Amino acid sequence: MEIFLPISGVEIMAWKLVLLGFTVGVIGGFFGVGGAFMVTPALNVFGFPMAYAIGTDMAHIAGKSVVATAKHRKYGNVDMRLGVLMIIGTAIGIEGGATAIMWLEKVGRVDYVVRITYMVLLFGLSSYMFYEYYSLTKKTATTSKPVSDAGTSGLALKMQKLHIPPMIHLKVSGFSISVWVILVVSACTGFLAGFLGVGGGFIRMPSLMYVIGCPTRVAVGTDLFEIVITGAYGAFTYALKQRVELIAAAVMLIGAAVGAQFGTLATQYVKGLKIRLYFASTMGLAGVAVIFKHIAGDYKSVYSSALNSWVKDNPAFIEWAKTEGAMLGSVKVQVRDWILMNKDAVKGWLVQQSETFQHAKVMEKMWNDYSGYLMLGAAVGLSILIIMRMMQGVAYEKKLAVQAKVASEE
Amino acid sequence: MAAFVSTLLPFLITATILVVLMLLTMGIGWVSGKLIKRLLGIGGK
Repeated sequence: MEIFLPISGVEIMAWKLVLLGFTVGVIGGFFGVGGAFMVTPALNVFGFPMAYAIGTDMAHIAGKSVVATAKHRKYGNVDMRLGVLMIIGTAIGIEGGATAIMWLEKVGRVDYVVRITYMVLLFGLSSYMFYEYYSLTKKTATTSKPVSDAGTSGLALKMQKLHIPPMIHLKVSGFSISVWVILVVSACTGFLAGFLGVGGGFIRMPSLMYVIGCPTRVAVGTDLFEIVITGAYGAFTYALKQRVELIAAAVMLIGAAVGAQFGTLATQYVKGLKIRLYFASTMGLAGVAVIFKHIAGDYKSVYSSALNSWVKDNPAFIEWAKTEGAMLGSVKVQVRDWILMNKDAVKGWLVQQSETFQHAKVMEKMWNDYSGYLMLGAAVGLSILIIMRMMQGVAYEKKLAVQAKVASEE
Repeated sequence: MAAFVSTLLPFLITATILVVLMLLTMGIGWVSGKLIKRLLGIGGK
């Protein structure tokens, strides 16, 4: 069934949206992330204009996180005190990150610095978590004692020993810590989120584990609680700017609501250490997708300045910038949005340009598509893996219950 | 008054639509959660 999306003016198969919502719902509920790094490029591959993809994704993330957080709270995985403090720190940090971006924009190195930071973070986190997984499983093999979750990291123990008043006892996480530590950590992760222009779940989840010292499941649940608030705020501001395709968001949410149930339930049956391993794999794949985006960005730079100059001199743009586009603020954002909304005019301009420009445009699209397909493939593959592991866990639990029953009867 | 209402209206409409969307999602999540548990044959925690 094909549905027409009135705001962006595109037609899209409903099953694609349901499938995407479902897979990212599973992943989000399991890892405690929003999953924008997967949904936005995948939506773009489905023909969704980027400007609408981000807003629609925000609405989907907020809805999915509500379902997953409610479920995690039921399982006792949400540390509300920690979550509320994290929200305060994150809000301060995001402002700082956005200010840093504006400074970099003035210097003219913003795209390059952001992409490199993104890659270093993704590959750094992924490599560390892989290293941790394999060193702990090696320990299990030598001591024959099964390790279900990594213990509190050395850094987290040091943080918990910092007795700077006021101290707060985190009942769900099971330790006391200085409020200042939580605020500083969340401000740092918020700064990175604002700097990279992402929700930041993939940075917060590891920082909750490795810096604050939360158990894996509590880190997942608490991060999701924070995503509910940030996602709802993001969805609201994007919806006000008419950048949310409500029909698409609603269709995706049908899949996401079901997927989040599977993902959350899976955290009860998969060991914390395994959750960290799958998370590391996801970060690694996301890093590869960012490399593809980086290559696409290099091709874009071949023709982008000529295109921007043409747009700025275009009478249609000048008129639009004075009326509808006036609320967008900077000329850079106005040019970007006008290009997204006037694809046919841009195509017409490109046809008249040199072969070098046309080739660069084709290559840019190709690498962007690679990035989107990689994230789509990763989302489908990972969600299948998570559901399979959950089914194995359920079967094992049932087997144990039967054995216990037989033993009690004897 | 009219200016105030016209400024406030988009905020209210947007918020209402999003809240309805969230409630629908929660409803679907709740029903699907029950169905999944029944299909898998698992009870509580």
